[in-house]
Amino acid sequence: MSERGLLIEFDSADALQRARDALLEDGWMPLDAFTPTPPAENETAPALYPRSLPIAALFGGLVGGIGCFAMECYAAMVGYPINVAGRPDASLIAFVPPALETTLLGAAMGVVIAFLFAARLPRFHHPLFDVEDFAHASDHRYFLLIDAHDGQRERLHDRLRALRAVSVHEVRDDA
Amino acid sequence: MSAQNVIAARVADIAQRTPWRTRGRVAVWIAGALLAALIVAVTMLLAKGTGIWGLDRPVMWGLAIANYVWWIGMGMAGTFISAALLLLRQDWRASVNRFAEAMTVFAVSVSGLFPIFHLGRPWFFYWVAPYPNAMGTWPQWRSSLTWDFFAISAYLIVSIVYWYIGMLPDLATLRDAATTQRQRYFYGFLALGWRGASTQWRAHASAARLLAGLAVPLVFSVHTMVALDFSQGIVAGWHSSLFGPFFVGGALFSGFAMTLVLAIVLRRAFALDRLITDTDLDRLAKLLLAVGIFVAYCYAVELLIPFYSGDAQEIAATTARFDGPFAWLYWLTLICNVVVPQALWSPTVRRNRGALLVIGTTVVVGMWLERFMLIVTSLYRSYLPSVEGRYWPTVWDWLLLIGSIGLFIAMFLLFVRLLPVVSVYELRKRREQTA
Repeated sequence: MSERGLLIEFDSADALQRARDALLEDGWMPLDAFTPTPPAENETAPALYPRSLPIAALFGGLVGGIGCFAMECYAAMVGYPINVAGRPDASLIAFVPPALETTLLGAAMGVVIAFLFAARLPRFHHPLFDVEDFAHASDHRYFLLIDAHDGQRERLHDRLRALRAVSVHEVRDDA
Repeated sequence: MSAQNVIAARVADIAQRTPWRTRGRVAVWIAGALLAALIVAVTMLLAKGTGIWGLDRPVMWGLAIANYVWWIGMGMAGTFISAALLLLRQDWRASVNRFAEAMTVFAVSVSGLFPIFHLGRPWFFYWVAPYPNAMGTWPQWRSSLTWDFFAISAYLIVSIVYWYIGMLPDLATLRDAATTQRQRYFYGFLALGWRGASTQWRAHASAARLLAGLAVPLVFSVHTMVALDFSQGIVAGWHSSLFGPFFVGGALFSGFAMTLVLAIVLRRAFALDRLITDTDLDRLAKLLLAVGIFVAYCYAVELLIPFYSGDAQEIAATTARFDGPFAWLYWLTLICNVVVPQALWSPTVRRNRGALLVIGTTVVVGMWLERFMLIVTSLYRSYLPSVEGRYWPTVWDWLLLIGSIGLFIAMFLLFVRLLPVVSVYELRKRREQTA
């Protein structure tokens, strides 16, 4: 995704939503929205999206569970068999509880790693952070990044005023 | 300033700007004094060994294990409240989830210390973890103590991650509200560069749901593992299939009570009346009452099982709880955990913060008494009449208990001082939706 464009600032989620639809209709390319609260479409979106997250959970859970169970079997049957009151070395049922915990742990770790990839974090510097007003994106302002350059600002001017934009900032790649 | 960012401003104020005056400083001094007690107790323990405790045959599990179960029990509720309410789409979780999750992380951290101290040679605690070692040994996989190690570690890690991921957007808010360079670095580092992009919010919501879905079964399994530490053996009074649900219920009971107490204290200390509302406290109180009824039911079943089994030793262990040397513990437990919480049926009581504080504290204390009672009354007598003894904790046991409370308070104060105490973005969302 391009990281340059014009960053348009709004003071409400509704204004952002309307502007995005209107600009899309005009042929502009909205790239991303930046909001202090989860956007409204999250409510209606599929519960587990992007798909990489649940898949990573499944994969992590399998690795955690099977890995732990295999380790227990190896340890108790091959690596260090000890006879405790004649119980079998392969006390498979007794191996389940630790494997259950590592299944859940592995699945959670899978989710976290997939989340960091999907959200492209950690990334301590981003061209957006050069825009001074962008600090309000975590507070009370709503931003829309569109694929446009500074030369097109004039063309957008009246349209954005009608859409109640608070201000417009340019975002440059920091190449 | 728009109506919405009032919440952000308030939370940022608490974490970054408001200097602590008399009450805050007194809290820090108290925590510091209790921490000093912990350091003294631990130093003494490391120097002299567990002999300084009141442990002696036949009671080889005393205060340390009671403290462990008590702390980990309180640690169950935070993640559970947060995760279960998220999955059930209960918006009011926003006012309690953050500090409840923090409570979980700190309580579990504190609880993990006790089994380690109890080892005799605590510096070898890592022997219970499976790792390639020159001794050629492996952990004993058939032992519930090993299971417990896995359970606590997994739970602690998942709780920390769940807490932290949920906090990311608020850490970004604090980063952007920071007034000094040091704060900008601190919160900037913790926020990982969160930008509030719609793609990030989407991934964040999915991650929260998935982690919540994993955390709920984890909560149940972890405290069941703790119960198995007891019921796996043949000790009369412990050897019962009731113990899993009984312990989970008790854990949630003490944890909800602690959440209620912390909610009232935080609300008072930082004037969060509009964020932690009377209705939220009322709901928490109802949850507490519901779990309390389940715990009372477990007490009843715990009485039924020995008589139903007809096992003479089990019956003797049970009747000794009523009128034996530790009978006062049993009756006190019942008063704290069964009788007192019934006041929560009254809406007037549920709306009275003072009363809620008293009831919450009573339950927290009552649950400690219960764990102590379960351990001591089951161990002080056994199948052989010759194995009868008494147990009373020494000053070192007590110092460790109050020291652990100090450690918890200290960690909680640091959390309040540095991190967002309530979930800003969720409260704001909730307010948007009601507006």
